[in-house]
Amino acid sequence: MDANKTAALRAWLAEQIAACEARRTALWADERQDEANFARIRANIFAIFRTILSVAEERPDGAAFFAAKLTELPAVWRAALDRAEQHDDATAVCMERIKLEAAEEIRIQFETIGRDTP
Amino acid sequence: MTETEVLRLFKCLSDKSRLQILKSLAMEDMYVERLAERLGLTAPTISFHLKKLVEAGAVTSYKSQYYTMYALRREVFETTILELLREKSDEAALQAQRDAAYRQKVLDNFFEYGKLKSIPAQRKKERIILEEIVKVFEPGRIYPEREVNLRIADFHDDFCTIRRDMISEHLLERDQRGYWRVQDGDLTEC
Repeated sequence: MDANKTAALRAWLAEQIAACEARRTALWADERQDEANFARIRANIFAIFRTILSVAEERPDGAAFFAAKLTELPAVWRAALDRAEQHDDATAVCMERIKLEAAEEIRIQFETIGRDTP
Repeated sequence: MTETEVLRLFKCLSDKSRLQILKSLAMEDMYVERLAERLGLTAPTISFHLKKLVEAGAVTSYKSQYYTMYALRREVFETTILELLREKSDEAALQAQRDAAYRQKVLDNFFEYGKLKSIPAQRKKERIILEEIVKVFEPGRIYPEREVNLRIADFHDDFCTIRRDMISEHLLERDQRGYWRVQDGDLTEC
């Protein structure tokens, strides 16, 4: 992967993780524990893709590898969301949606950086 | 409401977002999008909280035209906390077992070969001892003081103290005719 693009994506992921952690702390202090847990789950998704980015950096097909993971992992979460909806499991539905939303944000940012970063 | 249900309700209420939802529903019945707009939360988050509130028995839902409306279960919130505390515990049998074990331990510690070694200083322990000794008196029979003293003296020399304490603990009653054992059902809360 191009070093500039990787650095830009890494910085953006770090910002998202920090924002999620700040939100989690604020929610916890505000006695909203369930939503604080959701913020932690969102932070975990950004952290997972930061790790994947580190692996991608070491590979000649880094960009393709990262893009593939952006498809593979959400597919698993989408299937989990379907199962949760079938079983009317509100907690799991919320969790899987949060994962999918975070992954979608990463995908958009990955494409934006790939297009706009010199 | 069972103990498990009470615990689930209290756990569910200990969340600010859910409390805000309940406050809104206390004013009027609402649907998800209306609550989301009012509380500044996303619709999925509101749905998540409502699901928990429904499971805890705090909220109920009904269909109205195209909407699923949510309503406060007012009868749940009209129950006082004291009423909930007075509900029989799910662990009643276990607690009874523990109480019986404690009682036996006290009896073993203070009795030796049927004699009372000493009168317990703690009221709770003395009560257990007195309840054991009072069994020598037949329910419904009136005893003269002399016979009461003799029967208690079989357990301990200080029969006066024990007799007086049995009266104050409402295990024995007395009038001009003599003393009699209070039936278990007649016992006042001590």
